[in-house]
Order: sequence, then C-alpha cells, then structure tokens
Amino acid sequence: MLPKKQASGFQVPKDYFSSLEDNVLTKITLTQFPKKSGFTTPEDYFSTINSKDFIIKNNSKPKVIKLANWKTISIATAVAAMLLVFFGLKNQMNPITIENVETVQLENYIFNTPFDIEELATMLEEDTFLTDNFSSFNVDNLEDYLLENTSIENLISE
Amino acid sequence: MLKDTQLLTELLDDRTKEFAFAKLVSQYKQPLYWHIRNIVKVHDDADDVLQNTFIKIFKNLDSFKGESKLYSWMYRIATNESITFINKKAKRMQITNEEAVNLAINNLEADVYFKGDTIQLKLQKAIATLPDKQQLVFNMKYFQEMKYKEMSAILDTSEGALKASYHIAVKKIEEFLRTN
Repeated sequence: MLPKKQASGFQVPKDYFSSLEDNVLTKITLTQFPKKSGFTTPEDYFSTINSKDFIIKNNSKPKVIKLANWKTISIATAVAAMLLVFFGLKNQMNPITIENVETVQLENYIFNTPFDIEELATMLEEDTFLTDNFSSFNVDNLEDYLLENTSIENLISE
Repeated sequence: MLKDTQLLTELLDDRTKEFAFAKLVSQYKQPLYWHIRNIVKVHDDADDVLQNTFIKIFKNLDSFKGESKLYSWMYRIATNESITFINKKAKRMQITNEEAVNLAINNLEADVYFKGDTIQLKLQKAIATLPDKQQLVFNMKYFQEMKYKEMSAILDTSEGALKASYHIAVKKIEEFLRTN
C-alpha cells in the first residue's frame, strides 16, 4: 500500500503559470527571427581599445589665467559697436536744427562771420520783398529818423 | 573575471586606479560596445560613443557611491551617451531622433560593417518602429542575452514590466516582418 499522497514540496515562481503562455508564444516567434544583428566591426577593432586613451591626468602645472581672450575681446567689441549705433541713432533722432541752437550762439556767429551782401541776397527769396510789407510804413517817421540818425558824410560814403 | 566589489575597491584607490581601470576596460569594452552599437547602428558612431563612455566612467569614478552595481552604472552611462549622440546628430541635421536612426538604418545596405541579409535588415527596421525603451529592452534581451535582473538594475524598471515590454516588442516585430 502506497503512503498517503503528500505534496512534493516543489514550488514555482510567482505568476509562473499566468505568464507561461506568453513566454512560450514569444519563444516560438523568436525562432523566426535572425539570430545575429548583422553588425560587424573592423578587424582587430577591440585590440585597439586601450584604457590609457581614456585616462585623464590631473594637470600639475599652475593654471594660467589669460587677461584677454577671444571671448572677452569679442564681448568688448560688441558692446563698443552697440554704443556707437546707439549714439548714431540718437543723433539721427535729434538732428541739429536752427531751433536747437542757442540764440546767443547764433548772434555770435552772425556778428563774427563776415557776410557778403550779395551772398545774403541770393539766400533771400523774392517773396520776402513783397511791397505790401512796406505799405504800413509812415513816411514822416522815416524822414524824422533819417534826419536824427544820419550824417551827410555817411550818406556821401555810401 | 574580477568580482565587482574587489574591482571597485581597486578603482577608488589612487595607487591601483589606472591598473584596475585597464582591467575594467578589458572586461567591458565588448559588451558595452555592442550595447551602444545596437542603439546607434553605425560602427564609427559606436566607436565615438564607446570612447566618450569610458572617459566619462574614468572621470566620475570618484563620485560613484556604490548605490548600484558597477556594471549597471556603466551601462547607464553608455545608454545616456548613445542617446545624447543621436540627439546631437539629429540636431545637426535638423531632423528628429527617429529620422536620424531611420537614416542610419537605410544606409546599412551600403555600410561596410553591416553583413546582414534582407531579413536582418528588415529586423533592424522593425526594431526602429518600437518606442525607445522597448527598443532598448528588445536589444538587451535578444541580442545581448541579458537577464531581466541585470536589465532591471540598468533601466531602473521592474522585471515584470520588462518581461511585458519584451513580449509586446516581439509581437510588434513579428507583425512588421509579416506585413513588410
């Protein structure tokens, strides 16, 4: 008579049976795939891989700090160029016109610059001399002015 | 093969650092290379990324706190360097990352370091249609034959999620191969 049936004591990993179907089907599918990737290497490639090529030695030389390098110079140049453009644009936005010039400066310029009367005449436009501008002139006042403010000598010299 | 802990101790000791690093490079250059190559596809690009990876590993050894295994830390650096490389390449060419990878795959037929046949080329195209993480999972499981436990440490994802991701990836690839 055989002894009463007992469990063998053998055990299986967790989820073994639930994942068995997937595992078997995957293995069957994989038999259709090529075993190798097809990638190759140059002959003796791996013998050329030397650890010495990858070792970075700590440099015992003192670190030389460059006072000027290309980066510093290029930044300085860029800033200088930006300043030039900025001031150039500012001048364009505020051009020097007659309105900007101080009156005193303008007077000084006129008094100190020898003008040619004919040069001045060419600058004046014809319509500046409209006779109507003189229509309000009082002739009596003019005669009085001339009598009081001129001398016969000045009139003769002109 | 040196044990991880013993190697780490030697790497963190200035007296033995360079010698230990040489052993590290010797032990991991091939697995790291293939991990990178499966991402970037082109040998010359993989070579660049591998070198960047080892330089970064050496530079950052002193800051490695040992919260994870040394190999999973290195694989994470390799993965990040590969993705960064693709990002930069795509930006330079003013295309998306996906387009950059597809361009590399389309050029594989003329690539001297691709000896694959039609089905292998098709498989690469199929893999490229997967989401980024699924591509990583498939390549690491199928081509690099990593255990889920190792992948979990590298990708910071549970083994269950990785298994599910792998099964889905295989189904999608099968569908692509069948319909293309």
